[in-house]
Amino acid sequence: MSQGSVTPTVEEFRAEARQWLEAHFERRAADVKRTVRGMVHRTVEDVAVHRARQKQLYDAGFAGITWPVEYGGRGLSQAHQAAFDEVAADFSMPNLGITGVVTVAVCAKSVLQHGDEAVKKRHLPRMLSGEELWAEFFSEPGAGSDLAGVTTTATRSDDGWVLNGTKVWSSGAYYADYGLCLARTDWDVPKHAGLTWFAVPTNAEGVTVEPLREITGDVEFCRETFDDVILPDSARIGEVGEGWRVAQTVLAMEREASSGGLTSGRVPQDPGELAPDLVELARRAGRLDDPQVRALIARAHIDSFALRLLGGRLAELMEAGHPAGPGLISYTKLAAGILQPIRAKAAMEIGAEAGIAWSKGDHNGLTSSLDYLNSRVTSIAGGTNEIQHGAIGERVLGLPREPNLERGKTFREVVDAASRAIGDTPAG
Amino acid sequence: VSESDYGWLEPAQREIVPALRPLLARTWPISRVRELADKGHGFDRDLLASDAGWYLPARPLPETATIAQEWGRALSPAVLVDLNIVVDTLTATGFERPELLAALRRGDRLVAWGGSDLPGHWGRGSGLSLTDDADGLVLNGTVGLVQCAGQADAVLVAAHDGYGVTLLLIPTASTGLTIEPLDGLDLTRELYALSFDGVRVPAEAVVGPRGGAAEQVDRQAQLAVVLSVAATVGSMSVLFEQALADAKTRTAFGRPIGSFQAVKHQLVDGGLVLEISKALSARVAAAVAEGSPDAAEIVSMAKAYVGRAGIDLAHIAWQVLAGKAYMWETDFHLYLRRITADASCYGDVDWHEQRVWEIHSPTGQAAEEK
Repeated sequence: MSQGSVTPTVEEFRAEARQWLEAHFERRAADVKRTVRGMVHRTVEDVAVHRARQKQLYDAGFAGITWPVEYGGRGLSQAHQAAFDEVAADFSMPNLGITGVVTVAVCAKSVLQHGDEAVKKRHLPRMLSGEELWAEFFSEPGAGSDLAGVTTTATRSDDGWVLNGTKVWSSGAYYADYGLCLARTDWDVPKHAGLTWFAVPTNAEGVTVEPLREITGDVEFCRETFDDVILPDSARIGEVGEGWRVAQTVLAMEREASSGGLTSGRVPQDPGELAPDLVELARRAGRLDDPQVRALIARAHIDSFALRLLGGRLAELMEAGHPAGPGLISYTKLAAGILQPIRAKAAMEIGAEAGIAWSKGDHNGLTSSLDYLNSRVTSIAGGTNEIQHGAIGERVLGLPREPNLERGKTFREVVDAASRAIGDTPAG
Repeated sequence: VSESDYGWLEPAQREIVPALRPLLARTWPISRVRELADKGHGFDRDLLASDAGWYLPARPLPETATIAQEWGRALSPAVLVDLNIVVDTLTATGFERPELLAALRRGDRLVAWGGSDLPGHWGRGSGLSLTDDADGLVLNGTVGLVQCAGQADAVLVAAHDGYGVTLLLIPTASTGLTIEPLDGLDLTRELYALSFDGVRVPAEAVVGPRGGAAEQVDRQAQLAVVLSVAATVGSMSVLFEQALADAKTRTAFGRPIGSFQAVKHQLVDGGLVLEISKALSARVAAAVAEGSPDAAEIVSMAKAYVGRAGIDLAHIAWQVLAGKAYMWETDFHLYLRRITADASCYGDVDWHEQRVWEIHSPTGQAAEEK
């Protein structure tokens, strides 16, 4: 459609978007209730429908609005994006689940910053259009918060690389086309110096993606095993051995995506409704008159307002040139990681019997239980509370570092020393 | 953006801190705070007169809140919050004694604020009743936690009568008014309990419309929270900086104690609640200044959160400073006392949490639905 050379004004763009959406997409159903779980779990077939709609959106020039034109974007401003988002809120938009978010907000942004020209031209337009969905192949059974300790290994072959190892907790990988994979390319240099990133096609020979049933009973994250997977050198993203530098971008993108884009500075300034889920739970439990229950609900309401205000404050501080810079954003991750479990435990306390049993189909009972089971996602995933504590303590508050047991050792020596410390025989 | 002598300053602080901090250090050095505390006074009214422009400012509320943060840092007298409320009320109600207002602004006169009844219920004037008899108006009842009433010329109180809530400016020398000095946790907060036993009230003592002061009384409570929360945040900042500096420079087991995760992580928890408290403090000042429809709720949210967070942070600093914090000669205890008392004044944590519930009144909605 109108992807001409003339840049539309924000208002022109808003009108253009509204007109196109009216013609092609359905209105969002009025009775769709906001759910406490932002992400939707979907089957591969569900995803195919949404991919087609994403492609439609992309072809019309409404995906990748702020992305560079040469990589399939529209090259417009954040204000254009915000205008589109406002209009789109009234329509039923494509939803590619957590993988849709990860593809653009984490993987594509990292590829844009660190991929070579061929990689960017090959992948970015397809990522924006929904033709390529990417998952994060980061964590391993033995490396989560200590991400630089990955042991999945890429070994050089004549014309490329051979990948072996295991990744786990990769959200939505079962319907992804690629994994952004952190691999060790050298065991005989210090831990952070021997890492390299690769784009691994999930359909490559030797790749097994196994969806896992998680704590809630849902299937969302996966385990991948790589058994002599052959990758061309063109699958590499960034320089060999530069993986940890690239990882700083990747992890910053991930933190920003998981903190709900709080850095955008568009923070609602009103307190909003009083924790409707907790009030409903108290009503079901017959405890609306209990001052202790009221206090717990008020506290949860205050905490969630506080969390939003914190995001706004940190964005302002960064803009004003706070010396800690983007490191400040760890505060929002930590705050959510601390407050979510408190809220979920409070819900169980408020609900008492009503929190552990409910009539089949009762949405409120189900929600509070799912929230409870999910309440430690933020405190664990994407860098645990302990990691955030360390990062803030050292990079924001300037506290001295912990003595480093890995200093002066190659990664192979680090692994051997750790094995001896727990009484294992050293790795071969 | 360059670092000043005061470290990195937020935009809101950049005009105020370099001017006010040196001045506070001259007028209220911690040595003077201690000296007054030893005498059992939180305040010396002569000192107020010297820089009254900074203490009773006619500035936009967010700016006054930034100034109040500096009072909190310096442990300037907690009564500054009350004095601001008195000036605000007398100005807003068009009280017809311009010479008194001018004297208050200069710091030549002192009017205390009786905002609480004895059980700690803030801002409703429920402890006092005003009645009419053949000779005029009579005031009976009690008011608790009035700062500096013993040094004041008069006290501004709210009383219930047949019409509603009425504001009154009562001379402290009135017959039938007993002003009892209280002992207390915060050495820098001079508190009194007042009892009114048939105090005759002259007609000119009525401030604003008879029976029509409810909104003004609500405004007083909101201002009290904005300024007291800001001051608490200032006091919290000092304790946090002290604990942080100690953790970076004190060594044990061959390394700085701040390198131990057990210490580092506690300090980060303190830093987190401090940042949130600053965010709430700024937001509540803006909400009250704008007259936001959510102002009353944000007031209670801020007071409840910062009340709890202040004490949490003070205890983190206490644990990190450890033995040193137990010594009278270190200032830690002065800040601990101030922050803890702040949490119980102008409505405690529980009172404000219940207010948040009442503002939404989900129980009321439930009743309507049925």
